[in-house]
Amino acid sequence: MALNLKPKTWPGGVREVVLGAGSRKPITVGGGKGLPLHTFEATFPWRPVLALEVTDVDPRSWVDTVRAPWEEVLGQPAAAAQRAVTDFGADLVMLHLLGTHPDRGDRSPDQAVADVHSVLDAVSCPLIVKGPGAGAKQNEILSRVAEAASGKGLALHSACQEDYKTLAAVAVAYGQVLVAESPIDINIAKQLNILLSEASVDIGRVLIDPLTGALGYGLEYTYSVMERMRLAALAGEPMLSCPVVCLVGEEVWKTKEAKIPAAKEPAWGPEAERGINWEVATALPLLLAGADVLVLRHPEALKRVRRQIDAWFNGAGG
Amino acid sequence: MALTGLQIFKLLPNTNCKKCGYPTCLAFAMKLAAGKEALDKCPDATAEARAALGAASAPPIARAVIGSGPRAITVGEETVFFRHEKTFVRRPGLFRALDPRGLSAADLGARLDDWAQVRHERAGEVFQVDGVALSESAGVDVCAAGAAAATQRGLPVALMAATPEGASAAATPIKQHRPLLVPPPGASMAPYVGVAAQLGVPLVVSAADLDALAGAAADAVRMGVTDVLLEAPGTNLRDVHRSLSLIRRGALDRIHPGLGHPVFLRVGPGELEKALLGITKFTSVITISDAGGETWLPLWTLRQNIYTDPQKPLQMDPAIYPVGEPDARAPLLVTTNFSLTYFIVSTELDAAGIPSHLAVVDTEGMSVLTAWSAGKFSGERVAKALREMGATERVAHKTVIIPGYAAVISGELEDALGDGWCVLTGPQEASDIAPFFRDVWASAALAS
Amino acid sequence: MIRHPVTFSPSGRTTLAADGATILEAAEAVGEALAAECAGRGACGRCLVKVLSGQVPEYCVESRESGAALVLACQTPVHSALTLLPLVETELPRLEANAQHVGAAPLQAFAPWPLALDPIVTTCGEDDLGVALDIGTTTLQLLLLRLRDGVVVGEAGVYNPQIPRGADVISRIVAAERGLLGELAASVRAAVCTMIDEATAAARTRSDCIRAYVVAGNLTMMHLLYGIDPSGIRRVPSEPAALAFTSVAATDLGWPGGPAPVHTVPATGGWVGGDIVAGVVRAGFSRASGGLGLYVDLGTNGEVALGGQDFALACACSAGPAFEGGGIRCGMRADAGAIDGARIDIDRAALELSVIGDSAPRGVCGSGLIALAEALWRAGWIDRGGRVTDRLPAWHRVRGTWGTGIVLSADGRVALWERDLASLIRAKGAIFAGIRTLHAALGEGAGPVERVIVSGNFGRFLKLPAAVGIGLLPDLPPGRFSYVHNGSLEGAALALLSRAFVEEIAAYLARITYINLSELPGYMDEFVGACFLPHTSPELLRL
Repeated sequence: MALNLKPKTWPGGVREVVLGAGSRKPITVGGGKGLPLHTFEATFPWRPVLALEVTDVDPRSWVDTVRAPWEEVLGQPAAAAQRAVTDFGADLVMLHLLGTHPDRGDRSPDQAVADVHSVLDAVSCPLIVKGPGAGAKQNEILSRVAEAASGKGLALHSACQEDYKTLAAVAVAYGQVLVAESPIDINIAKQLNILLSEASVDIGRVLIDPLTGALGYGLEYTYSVMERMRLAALAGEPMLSCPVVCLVGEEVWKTKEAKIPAAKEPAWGPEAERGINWEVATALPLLLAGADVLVLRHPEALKRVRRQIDAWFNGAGG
Repeated sequence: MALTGLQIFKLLPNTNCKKCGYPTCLAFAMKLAAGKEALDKCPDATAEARAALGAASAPPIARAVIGSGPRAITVGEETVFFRHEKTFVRRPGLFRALDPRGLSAADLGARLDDWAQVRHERAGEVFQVDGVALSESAGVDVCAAGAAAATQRGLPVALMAATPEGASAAATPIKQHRPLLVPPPGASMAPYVGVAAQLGVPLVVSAADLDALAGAAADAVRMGVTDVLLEAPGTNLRDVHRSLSLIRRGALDRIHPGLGHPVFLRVGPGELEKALLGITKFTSVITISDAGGETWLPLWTLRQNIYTDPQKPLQMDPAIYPVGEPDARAPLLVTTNFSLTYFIVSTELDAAGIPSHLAVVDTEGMSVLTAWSAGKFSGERVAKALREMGATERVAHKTVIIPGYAAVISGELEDALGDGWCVLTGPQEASDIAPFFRDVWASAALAS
Repeated sequence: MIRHPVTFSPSGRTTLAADGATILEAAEAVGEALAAECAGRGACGRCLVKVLSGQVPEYCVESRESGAALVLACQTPVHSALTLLPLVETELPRLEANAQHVGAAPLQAFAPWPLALDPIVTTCGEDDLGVALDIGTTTLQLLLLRLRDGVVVGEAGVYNPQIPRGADVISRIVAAERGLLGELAASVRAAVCTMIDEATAAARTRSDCIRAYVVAGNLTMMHLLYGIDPSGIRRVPSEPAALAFTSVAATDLGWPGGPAPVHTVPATGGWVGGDIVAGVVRAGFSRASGGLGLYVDLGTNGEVALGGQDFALACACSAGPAFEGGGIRCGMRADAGAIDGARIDIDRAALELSVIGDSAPRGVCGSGLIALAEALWRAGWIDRGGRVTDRLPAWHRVRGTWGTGIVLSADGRVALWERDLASLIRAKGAIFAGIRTLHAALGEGAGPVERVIVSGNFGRFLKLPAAVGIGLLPDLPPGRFSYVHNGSLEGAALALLSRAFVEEIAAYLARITYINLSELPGYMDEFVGACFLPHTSPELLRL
């Protein structure tokens, strides 16, 4: 007896956003017309993409497991970006300007701009640029970067509800994409997008960062907010139809489980495998919840997540 | 219950007699609508009310029980597709796949002992190996012996059968312990259905596609198998995901009764991603081939996260948790037992490189401000908790740091602690922990 | 134990504070009046002080004025000798006589069904008086009634003198727990005496003619009035010492009238008090068949009731004092000098204000705040989150210790700050979220809301379009709305004048179901969604 399993159709869908412009090879994200990865009943013109994080200065807080593959290029963003794309297969790169934070080097806007230029020269993929965290310094840094890289379709990370006007103006003025960050709250995500639209930002050039909790550290909050956002997008809510970006690497590699050596917790298994598994185990549920862009740190995690995405979109592997 | 509070209220006597324990009939009706009460609490409910409320409640997904005794696991009876609609209710069972080939009885026993004792605690929940999966391909006798040894240790068992005779031979001696019978992929179901029905044990039903699967499950039920699980068809992640999603949706939409059963998944070596998919998406029993903590820790943790009731966030057990390796001079901080607060604060302390003692006070899972408003984070309560936890013995100094949002209790806490104790008000946001220690702790430590 | 001398200027009060104690604790120890409306949570900003000498931790510094640090006293620990200058005045503004009801006969003016004059106490005197009291968290109001004919002869109102000890009920309960119960009881009783004096003087009568009192107020206010420990109210689950209070003699409270009984309208749950019970019966709920009625009390606790003669759901939304001008930098009651309306002419970029008494503006009252929020947002001068945009004309813009603000008066002294707008948005968000949550709790098929009764202390009027415009009240046909100037007070007056009304209250009490919003899963979500102008999802405004 044949089951009557009708495909579920929806009036709306996730918007398509193009990352990278000008000298960049553009990548389109989003566009899904069904629940995440429900390729059996809906069209998904673009597959989720994977980014690797590179930093402007040597990130001393990164543990050995995640430093190892980046040996010799930590703190050299151009070289690291090249390795990310050529050796590790990243679709795009996130340049994290952590050195511009007043407590971590207080690098100047000029230095930030120089770093961005060096990365733009080293690779042709689209670039996400992450500032030192909301505040006056971030506004200053990202404004200068946006201006210097005008027309390159950078994704600026990030505007938040308390502080969005500067980056909104700058994104519009210099043709950049804006990442709208909200604290794991669907209403605030929607509110921020409404505020951005009313500040003349083209909502078709916005990505949502719902703030990622790592596995064991709030993952389920992010997961459910993302599922609800996808349902809203599919129902046609324009302010929640932006593609979603999750900063997985940063959150995962802060956790005890990713860091603690096996010598201290033998039952937890070898730390390298454990850390990479932790990153994969955070990334995969988020893909299932609708992530369109994942920013990872360990290339091995990227490889494994890539294999899963290929399974869905090529029908092979997995 | 599909009926709303108001609809139920109209079926009640509206006498506000309070026999149900609620002040008004409407209050009781609203609890019924939320599924938090049973109609039999109302002694005056009419037959009409009983009929109306009864009809709405048969669960769309059946139940299955595997194993016996304290470690028996119950799965099924889920009611939603998305956890945020309400919650997922029964945590999936994670079974260790054991290959008993070449193991002496003693070795096998030792290994089973280890697994029976595996214990990991996180946020008030204890993670264990939920069961053992034994394969008939090692030899029927070996498999049967292993199964018996496992059940002796109280562990639920899944029998990965190769033949119906083998399945019967291994299951019969332990049938009272309800071992899960798992036929080999591609096998014809009828003989296994016969064994399971005859022995009264749970059975996994598999088929090439969902149509055949639903039919096979319905057949099994008709032939007398009481607890049926469905093996999700598919060889790659995409197809498995499709099966899992359509089975859950089909069950909730009541498309075919054969879909209304818990789901089973077998995961081979190096297939962590498949297990992650299963845990995230609706699977009730998963057999795992890999052994190490690097596999099991993420699986247990993901299960904890996905299966947490969104309305009842996890609570930490009250205790003093070390961050890093603190000695008696390390700072002492106090916070609530909302698990997310604990994890965020401890992570920030760790990231800032500050070995410390983090005292977690029972606030029934409320975060700082809510707990304070409800009187659960008062100076008195915190002082009592700190004394009971032996905080005063844990550190050589007499300073305790409270969350910034609870600044108002500082004086009260100092008075309640007495004995020269000093309260320092920490930052409101966890992200300010590092600057706080850099700017304030250093100078305060010098002063005391 | 290290101690440091802490001196307050200009009062000169000095104390030795323990190292690590907060500046606020030092102030309280030495009797320096610093407002702690949020009970020291660092939320209200009223305890801001300037550090004239000494050191404070850098992370406590809110801002600097010519190099001197400005810090919140409740958040700043003492680690050195300090000299401090309090910046916020704590004296409550005086009120002018607000004669709204004087001359009216409640039984004729607002009885919800025909009621005969049958006062709660049998009288025979020509001059016998009764007092109806509404003891609110932010304001106290009184009506003086002549019992022989049921006419209002006097009226008075004051800010609740307990406010510096806590702007909201939780903070006040905490203050009581800290040993201030006696002071809180005494201050509110004294304020009632002041109101009686004022009302009797204006009515040219004598307070010894008072024969009875009917008091309505939320449970916390009743506990504090009677000097009963309120700490159980804030426990989870809520355990108030009592829901109903036996009558006491006026003299027991230090009130005129000797043995005259003081009756209290009973409450129905920890957070829904006799004031709401009186208000909904006054609004006709107990006799309303047909569609749903919605009663909204735009006071500090923001109680909402939904129902009719068969049942009512009631909840408290913790709106905060914004609707009464409380917690607002330039907030005031609806009296002469209060801005109570606003309009913006976009073409001329001109802000036009309506001021009570048509004088120069001295501050902003609740209805003014609502009108300003609506006008500013529609003009695009603030965004939907209540923050100033760059479309705000430069001459209206000001930056100060309070952040960014909008200058309202020509002399620059009256301004609306982003913080004030945030308070208003949170207040209205709480109310609307409460309304939606109650309506959703009834479920589908509950039917439309046919009547909305709004009760508040808005002075002359509440501008309905503005209130709906900002998403405070649901978007329903205007004909369904009516406004009651203080339903609690009017209900208390009816109870004083009609024993039948008292019986009706007692009977209806059993049909009110108190809902604890924090126990309903959807509430927080609704609240965040409603903290936007007019709402994150405007289609939800139509209920």
